[in-house]
Amino acid sequence: MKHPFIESQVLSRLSALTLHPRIPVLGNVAGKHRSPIRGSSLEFAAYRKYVPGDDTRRLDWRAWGRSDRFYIKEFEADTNLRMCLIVDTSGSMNFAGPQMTKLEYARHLAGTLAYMAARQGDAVGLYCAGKTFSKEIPPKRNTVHLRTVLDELGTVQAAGETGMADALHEAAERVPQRALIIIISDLFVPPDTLRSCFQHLKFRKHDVAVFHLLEQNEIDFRFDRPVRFLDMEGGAPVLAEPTLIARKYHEALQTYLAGITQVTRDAMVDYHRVLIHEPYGDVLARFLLSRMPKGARK
Amino acid sequence: MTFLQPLLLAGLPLIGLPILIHLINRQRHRTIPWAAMMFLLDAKRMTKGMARIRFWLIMTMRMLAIAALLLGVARPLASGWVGLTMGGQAETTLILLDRSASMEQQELQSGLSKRATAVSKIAELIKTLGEDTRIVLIENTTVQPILLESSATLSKLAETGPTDTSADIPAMFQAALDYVADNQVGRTDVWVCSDLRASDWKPDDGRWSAIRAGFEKAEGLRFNLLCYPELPQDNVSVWVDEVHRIVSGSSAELQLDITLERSGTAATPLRVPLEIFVNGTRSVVNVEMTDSQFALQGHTIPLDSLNAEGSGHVEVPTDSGAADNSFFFAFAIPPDQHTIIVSDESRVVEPVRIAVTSGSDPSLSYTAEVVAPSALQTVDWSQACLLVWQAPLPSGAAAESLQRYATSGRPVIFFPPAQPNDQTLYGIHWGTWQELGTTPTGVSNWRDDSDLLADSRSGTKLPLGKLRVQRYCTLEGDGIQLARLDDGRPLLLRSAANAENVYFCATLPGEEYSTLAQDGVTFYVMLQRAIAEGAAVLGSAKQAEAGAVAAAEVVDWTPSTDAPQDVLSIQRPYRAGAYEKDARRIAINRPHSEDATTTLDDTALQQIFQGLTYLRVDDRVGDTSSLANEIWRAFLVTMAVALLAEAWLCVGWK
Repeated sequence: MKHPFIESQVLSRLSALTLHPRIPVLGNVAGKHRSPIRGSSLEFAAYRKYVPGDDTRRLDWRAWGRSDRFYIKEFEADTNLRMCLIVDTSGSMNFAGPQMTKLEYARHLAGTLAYMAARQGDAVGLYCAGKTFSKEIPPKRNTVHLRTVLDELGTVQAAGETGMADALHEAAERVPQRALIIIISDLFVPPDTLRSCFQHLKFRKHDVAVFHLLEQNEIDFRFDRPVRFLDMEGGAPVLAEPTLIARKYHEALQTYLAGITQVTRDAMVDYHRVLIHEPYGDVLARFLLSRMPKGARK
Repeated sequence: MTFLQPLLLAGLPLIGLPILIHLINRQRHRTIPWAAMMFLLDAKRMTKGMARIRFWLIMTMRMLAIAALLLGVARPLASGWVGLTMGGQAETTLILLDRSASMEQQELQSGLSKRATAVSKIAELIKTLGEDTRIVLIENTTVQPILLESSATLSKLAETGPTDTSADIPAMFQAALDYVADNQVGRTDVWVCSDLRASDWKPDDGRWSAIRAGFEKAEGLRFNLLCYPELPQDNVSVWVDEVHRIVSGSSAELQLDITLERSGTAATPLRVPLEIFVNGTRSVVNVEMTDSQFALQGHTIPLDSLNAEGSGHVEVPTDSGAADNSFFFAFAIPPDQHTIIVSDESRVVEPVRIAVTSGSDPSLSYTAEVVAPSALQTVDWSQACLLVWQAPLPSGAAAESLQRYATSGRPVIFFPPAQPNDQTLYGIHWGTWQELGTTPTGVSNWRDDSDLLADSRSGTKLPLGKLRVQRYCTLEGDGIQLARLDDGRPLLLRSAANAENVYFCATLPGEEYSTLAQDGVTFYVMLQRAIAEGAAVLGSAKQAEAGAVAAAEVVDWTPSTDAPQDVLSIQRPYRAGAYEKDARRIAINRPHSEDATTTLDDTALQQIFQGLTYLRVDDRVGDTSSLANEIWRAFLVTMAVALLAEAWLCVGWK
C-alpha cells in the first residue's frame, strides 16, 4: 500500500503494538476486542440462572450436580473495532510548521492509524470536518475500503471556517454506538463549546481520543516588528504590534489550553497535545502504548 | 530659556522621529497567515486600553529622549528668572553701575560688597552668554559710556571699583539714552545694578518722564534690574558734623561734633568703641548707644599749639555697611570771616554790616568793609569770604573783577540799588521798584532742603513766613528761585548761569523795605551761611563730598597718613580720604544722603519704568550663584531617564 503519508519505517516500528479501545465496543463481526454482549469465546464471563428458552447446550451440568440447580455458563464475546477518524479540514489546518502543515501531519496520523486498524481486522471510517462534513466514509473492514479512506485522506484540502463543534455533534449521532472516535484537529474552538461535544460523544458510549495539533510558533508568538496576521479561516486580517500584545496572547493561550485539558479530563477523553514538529511515529507509539491493556504492557 | 547654540534647535522637529519610524514600520509590516486568531483577537481585545497607554508612553519617552538630547546640545542656560526669560545674547549690553557708597554694603564673611557682587555676576553672565556683544559701561562718577573689550576687564577696571559718592541714576539713564540714540546698538540689554536707594534714583525727578519717552521710542531695548535692596543689619554709621580748631591762650584743641547712627533694632544698648585719629594719633572713646542715634557734641582733643593744620578721621568697628564706618576731616587755622559790602548807601546796608560782623563763633574774627562802587580798585578781593553788592550792576572792569571773584566759588549777594540800570549779570537784571504801601506781601514758599534758606541741622525751619515786604525790586531773567513772594515774584534768586554762588535778593533790610532786619533771624542765618561758604573756599582746610571735587583738584595731592594709600589718583575725587598739598588740606567723605536707608518701593519702580519692558532680579549681597547657568547636564540626565523608562516599558512592563 503506497501512500506518501504512510511510512514503512513507522509501520515496522509500530508493528508490535495494537490498537485497543478503552471500553468494550460493538462490532459487526468477530474480532479481537471486548464486546459488551456475551458471546462464545473461550474467556469465561459469568453464571446466570436458567430461564426457559435458553439453549440447553450451554447448561453447566457440573454446577447442577453440585447444587441441583440449572445455571447457564456465559463467555465473553470478541468483536471487531469500528474506528472513525474525524479529521479537521478547516483553513487553520493549513498552518505550516518547519516540516509540514497541520493537515499533512493529520494525514500521517490518520493514515497510519487506519492502516494499523485495517491490518488487525477493524473497520475504518473517515469524516473530514470543515464547516460541515465535506467527506464522510462510514467504517468498513476490507482492503478496498482502506484504500478509499487513504485516497480520500490524500486528496482532502483544508479551507474555510471551522465547524468542528457541529461536526462532532453530528458524528455522535451518525456513528453507531461504541465506536472509537479519533479526532485530529487544532481545536480552535472555545473549550466550553467542546465540552458539550465530548459529552455528546460519551453519551453515545464512544471511546473518544483527541490529537490536538499545535505549532511551536503559535505557542511562542515571537515577532520583532508589526505583523499583519491573515486569518486562515477567512476572517478579517489583524495588524498588530506583537511586542505589545504578546503577554496577553500567552495568557489567552494558557487559559485556553487549561480549559481544553479540563474539558477532556471531565469528559474522560483520551487527549494528546501534539506539536507538529514532533515525529508522528513517536506520537502514535505513545498513543498506542497508553491504550494497551495493563497486562499487555509488561 | 536661553541657548548658547540656538541653531541646533532647528533640529527640534526630529522629536517626531519615533512617530515617523513607527508609522514607517507599520507600513513595512510582515504579512503572515495565522491560524490561532482566537488568541490574537483575545489579546488585542484585552490589551486595547493598557497597550495604547503603554504605546504612547513609549513614544513619549522616545520623543522626550530626543528632545532632551537636542536641548542639551543646544547648551541651555537657566537660573531663576533670567534663564527663563532671556532670549539670547544681545548685540549690545549696556551696564549702568551704581557705585555709590551705599553699594559698598558688604557680606561680612566673604567681604563681597553689593557692587562687587553685581560686577562679578554681570561679567560671568556675559562670559556665559558669549562675548560677541558690545559691552558698554556707564557708572555714576563720570556718567560717560565706556566701551569694554571683554567681560574680563569689567572687574579689573577702576571705573567699577568702590566709591564714596552718591549716584544720579536719572543722569545715568539719560547717558544710556544718549548712547542708544547716537549709536547703532541693535538689540540691547540694559543691566542696571543698584541698591534702589531713593536718594540716588530720585523718583520725583522731572527728567524721568523725558527719559521714559526716549526709551519708548528705542526698539529692541530691554531693562534688567539687578537689585540689592537688602538693608544692612546692626550697622553703625559715623558722621562728623563740625570740626573746629580752638586756641585758648598757648594751648590748642580740636573740637569735634560726631554723630553715630544705628540701623536695625535699638532695643538693647550697644557699646561702640569710637576711634579718633588726628594727624596719625589714635584715641578711643567708648560710647553706649541706647537709641538709634548718638551725638557726641564738642568732643575735644588736645592739639599741639604748633599744629596749625592737620587731618584725621573717626572710625567705628567694621560692620556690613563698609562705607559709613569712617569719616575724614581736615582742619586748619580758619581765615578771617571778611565781608566786602559795595554800596553808596551806607545807611541802607548798615543792617548787613551788623549781621556779617556778629559771628557766632567767638574764636573767629568777623570783619566787614563798606566800599563805594567807584572805589573798587582799592579792594583786596583775595581776603573776602562774602561780597554783598548793593549798587547798580557793574560793567567793564568792575564786572570782570566781580566775576573773577565769583569764579573762585565764594558767594556774592546782590541787593537792589535805588536806581537800577539795564545792565545784565549772570542772565539777571533788576526791573522796577514795587511799592506795596500798607499791604505788605509775605513769602509764599522757599527752598528749605538746601542752600541759604535751608532748615537748620535740627530740622527747625527759618521764620520766613513772618517776613513782610513793603518795597521790592523785580528781578528779570532766568534763575533758581530760593524764595517766592505771595504774588509769585522771586524774593531770593540764585543764578542758573553756571554760577551757583551768585544770589539776588529782591528787597533790602531797611524798615521801609521789609522786616528782614527787624525779624533778623532769617537775614542773619542767610548771611552767616554765605560767609561760611566763602570761608570754606578760602580756608586751607576743606570738607568736600565725594564726587563733588574736580579730579584735577586732587590728582596731584598726597594722601594723608591715615587715608587709603592704594587709591588711584584719578579715583581720589570719588573715594573718602584726606589729602594735602602744600598748606592746603581736603577731606572727602560720602554725601550724607548715602546714609539714608529709604529704598524704592515697587510702585515707585513701576512708575519709573512705566511703558518700558523690564525684568527685576533681586539678588543678595555676597551671593555667588550665577545669573545664568548651563544646564545641559540636566537635559542629558533627563534623556537617560527617558531611555531607561522606555526600556522598562518595552521589556519590563507587566
